[in-house]
Amino acid sequence: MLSRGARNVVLLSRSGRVDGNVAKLIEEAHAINSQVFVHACDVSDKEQVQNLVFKGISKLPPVRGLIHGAMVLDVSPFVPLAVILLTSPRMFCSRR
Amino acid sequence: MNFQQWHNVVEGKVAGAWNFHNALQNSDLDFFVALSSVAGIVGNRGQAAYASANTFLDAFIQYRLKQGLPASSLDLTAVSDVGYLAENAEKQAQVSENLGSETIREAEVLALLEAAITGKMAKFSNNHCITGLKLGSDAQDMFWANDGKFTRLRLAAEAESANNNTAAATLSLSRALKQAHSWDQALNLVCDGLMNKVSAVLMVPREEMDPSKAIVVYGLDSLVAIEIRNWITRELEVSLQVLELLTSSSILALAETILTKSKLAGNELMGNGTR
Repeated sequence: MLSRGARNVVLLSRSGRVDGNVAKLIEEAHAINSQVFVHACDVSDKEQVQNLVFKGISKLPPVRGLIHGAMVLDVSPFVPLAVILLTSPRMFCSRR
Repeated sequence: MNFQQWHNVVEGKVAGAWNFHNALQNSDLDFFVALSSVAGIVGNRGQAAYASANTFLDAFIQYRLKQGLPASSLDLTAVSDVGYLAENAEKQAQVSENLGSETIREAEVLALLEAAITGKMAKFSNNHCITGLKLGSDAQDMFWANDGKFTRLRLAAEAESANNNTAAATLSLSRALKQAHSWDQALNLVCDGLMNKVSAVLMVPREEMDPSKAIVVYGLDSLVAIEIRNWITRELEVSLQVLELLTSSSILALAETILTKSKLAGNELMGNGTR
């Protein structure tokens, strides 16, 4: 998505940890003048989601799209993960 | 499974979808993609909570679409080259045993994501794309294949594998015919081959067929008759009129007509066989 012109991408996870692949992604984004932000957010928690949308990322350009990829498999807790994409110009606008 | 376990699995997807749906109500979105799972579609064994969380997502996406909002769901099957299953061979084996061996790759996931974002998925699959679930010759082994919603896929898979079987059988049919020692033996071969073919094409169980009955009794129409005529031409080297198939009084009589005209059966057989 970054390679297709998304300028601002927000990644969410419960921990908000930035390491390994995520750290690498942030660097790669910088190299092409884009930004990847990582926020800690349990998406199943209404308040945390509202806080994120109305405070945490309110300084960024408006949200244009969302990929909801949260999952917890069986009883083994999996890190819920959701991705929000923000793009200031309409980068993915073939819909209209 | 206790309630807490159910809750842990379901909430990330269910509450997560609602929370973003509500929080982004005033955002002008281009896309809202839910990564769902084919586990929901088949009702994967041992994953009641996970399966239902995903069918919720699929339904939720349709709910958004009804409201004129952008939305798509991607029901992923096992992804072979990246992620949790790719790093966990044991889990992957478990998944393929349940769902079948059809997996997808990262590049395919990304292409589907693109189709969801660009709106292509709206055109081709009502914004609900299910992956995996290929029914092949192993259709009977898949626990989910007997579910009513897979009937058409299953019948198509069975017909295809029956066709392949008759194709294999007819290879030996023409050879067996060349080696037949008597008219009656040759007639039996042709009659059996014909019944196998009709059974496969018209989906009539072979054991329910009677060679003394006309093919039309089993639902032969002119389109299917053309297919069978072509098969006869190809496998038995006899050209018949479609009308001859439709009007023959019985499968046995048709077999006799074919055998009389066939170039495959030896001449000496024809000489002493024609009655």
